Amino acid sequence: MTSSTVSSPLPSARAQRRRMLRSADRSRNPFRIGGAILLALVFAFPIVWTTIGAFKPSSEANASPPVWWPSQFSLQSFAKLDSSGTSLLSYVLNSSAVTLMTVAITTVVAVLAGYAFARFRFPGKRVLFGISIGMLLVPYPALLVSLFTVMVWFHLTNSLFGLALIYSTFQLPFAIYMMRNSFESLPAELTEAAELDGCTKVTALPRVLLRLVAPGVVTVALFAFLAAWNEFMAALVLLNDNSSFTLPIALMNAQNGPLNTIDWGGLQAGITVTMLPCIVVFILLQRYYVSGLVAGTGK
Amino acid sequence: MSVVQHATDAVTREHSIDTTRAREDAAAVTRPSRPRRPAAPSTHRARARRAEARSGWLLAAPSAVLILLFFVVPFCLTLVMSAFDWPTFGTPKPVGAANFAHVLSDPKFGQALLFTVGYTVVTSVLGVAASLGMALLVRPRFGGRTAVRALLFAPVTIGFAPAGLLWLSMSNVRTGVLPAMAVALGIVPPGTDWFANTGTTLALVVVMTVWKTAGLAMLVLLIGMDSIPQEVYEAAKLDGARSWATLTRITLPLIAKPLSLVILLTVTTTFLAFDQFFAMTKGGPDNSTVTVVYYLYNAAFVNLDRGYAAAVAVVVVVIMAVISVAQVRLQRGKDRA
Repeated sequence: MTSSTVSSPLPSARAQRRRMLRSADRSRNPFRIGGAILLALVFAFPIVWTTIGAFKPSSEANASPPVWWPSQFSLQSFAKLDSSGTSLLSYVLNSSAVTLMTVAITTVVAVLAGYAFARFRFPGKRVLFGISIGMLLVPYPALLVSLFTVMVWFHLTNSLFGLALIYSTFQLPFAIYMMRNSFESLPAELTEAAELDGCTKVTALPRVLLRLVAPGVVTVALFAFLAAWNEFMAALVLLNDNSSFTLPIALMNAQNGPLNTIDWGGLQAGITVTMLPCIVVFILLQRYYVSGLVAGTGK
Repeated sequence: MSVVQHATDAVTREHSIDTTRAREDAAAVTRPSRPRRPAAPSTHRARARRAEARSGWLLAAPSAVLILLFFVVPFCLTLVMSAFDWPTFGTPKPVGAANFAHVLSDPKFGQALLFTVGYTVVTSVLGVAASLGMALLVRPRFGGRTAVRALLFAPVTIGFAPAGLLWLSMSNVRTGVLPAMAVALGIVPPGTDWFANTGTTLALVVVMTVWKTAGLAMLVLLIGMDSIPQEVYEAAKLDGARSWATLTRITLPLIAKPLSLVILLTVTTTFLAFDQFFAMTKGGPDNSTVTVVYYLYNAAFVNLDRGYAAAVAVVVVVIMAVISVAQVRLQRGKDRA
C-alpha cells in the first residue's frame, strides 16, 4: 500500500482497477455458493462413507440394512483383506514398491531425456521424440497381449520390477514432454555461465539446472505416483502370484470371495488404504498437478 | 489416464519449434564466417558437434531403451501376432488375414463395439455437460472455493478399479447405502438388486464414471476460463449482455480449445473402459456389458487366443487413431474459421 502511494499514480490506478475487477469476479449469490457446497458434499460422500465403513466393527460393516454410524471405531477390518490370510500390509508394501520404482525410473529417465531434447543436437532426435509423442496415440491395453509375450521372453512376468518398467515407459511421453518444456524455459545463458565456471554441458545438469527444474520434476513424479499406484489391467495380466499382488488386484480378489461371500468391511478398509494416499498427496501437491495439466493442455 | 490430450498439442508445438530452428540453421549457413577464426574452427566445430551428439545420445539412451523394449517391440509384435495362430505353447502358424475376418464377422465383437460406442456417447455427453456446469459453478471467487474445488476433484485421484469397487460396495443389494436410501425414499421396493438388471447396472457405472472423471475435465475447463481476461466480461456487462449471452457468446467460444481437449480425453478414456466393468459388472448380466477392451481381455487371457486378440488390438488401435485424427481435423477447421 505504502509503495503505491509513493510511486507514480498510473500503476496505483491500474492496481485499483484490478482490485475492482477482482471484486466484480467475486460471487455473493447464496444459491451459487450453497449449490457448490452441496455438490462438493455429494462428491465427497462416497469417500467419507467408505472411510467410515472401514472403521466399523465387522458385524456392523456387513449389516443389512447398513449402519450409518459405527457404535465404536474398530481396526478389525484392516487385519484381514481376504481369506488367503495375506495381510493388507503385504499388498500395501507391494504397491509401494512398484510405485517407488516407477517414480524413480520415470523421473530419472525423463530428466535426462528432457535435457537432451531441449539442449542437445544429435541424429535421430526428432525420430525419438516423435515416437515418444506418438505413443500417446496407441492405447496401452491394446499392447498388453504382446507385452505379456515380451515379458515372458525377458523373464519379467510376476515381477514387480517388470511392472514398474512398463509403468515408467508409458509415463514417459508426458514426463519427457514436461521435462523438455521445463529445460527449454530456462535461459540458455545459464548453461553457458555454468560452462564458464568449469562445468561441462552434462555436469551443469546436476550442479546448476536440476534445482531450477525441480517443480517440473515434482509434477512428473506426482503423475507417475498416481498412475502406478492405481494401475489395474497390466497388474492383472502380469502378476499371477498372490504374494506379489498390488492393492487394486488384491481388492478385486477380495470382492470375489469364496462362495460369493464378501467381507464388505475388509473391502472398504482396502479401498480406504488405496484411495486416501492419492487424495492426500494430491491435496499437498495440487499446485504441481495443475501445472502439469497446464503443460499438457498447451496453455 | 491423462494422456491423449498431450499428443496433438505436443505435435503441433514441436512442429512450430522445428520450423524456427530450421530457419536459424539456414541463417547460420548464409551468414559469412566470422573473420576472427579463419581456418581451424571447421574441424574444431565438427569435433564439438560430435561430442554434443554423443552426450545427447547418452542422455536420451535410457528413454530410448525403455521405449524400444516396452513400446516398439510389443507394438510390432502385435502386428505380427495378428497374422498368426499363436498358441500359448508350440510354434505359431501364419494364417494371413483370417483373424481379422473372424473379428469383423464375430457378432459378439459387433455387440461389444456397439455397447462401447453407446456407453461412450452417453458417458461423454453427461460427463462433459456435468464438468462444464461444475466449472461455471465454481469459477467465480467465493469463500471456501478452494475446498469445494478440491472435493470435486478428489475422486479423480482414485483409480478406476478401487472407485468401481467403492460404488459396488455402496450399491450392492445387501449392505449398500444407496439402495437403502432409495428404499427409504420409496423410490424402489426393498430387495431390489440393481446389478441384476442391465439398465440399472449401466446407470451405476455411468454415474461412477462421471463422478470419477468430471473433476479432471472441470479443472481443464477452469484453466481455460482463467485465461479469459476479466476485462472482456466487464465490456460485455457494459454492453448489457445477460448471463446466458455471456456464456454462449464469450465463455464457450473462448474455451473452445480446452473444451475440445476435454471431449477427446473423455471419449478416448471411456472408449477404453475396462477396470470399472471388471470391478462392477464382470461383463454381466448375461454378457450385456462387455466393452471392446473387455472383449480383448477375454480373447487374450481367458480364451488364450493370442493371435486373435492381437487382431482385436489392431482394430482398437485403428479406431482410436480415427477418433484422434477426426478430433484434430475438427479442431484445425475451427481454428481456421
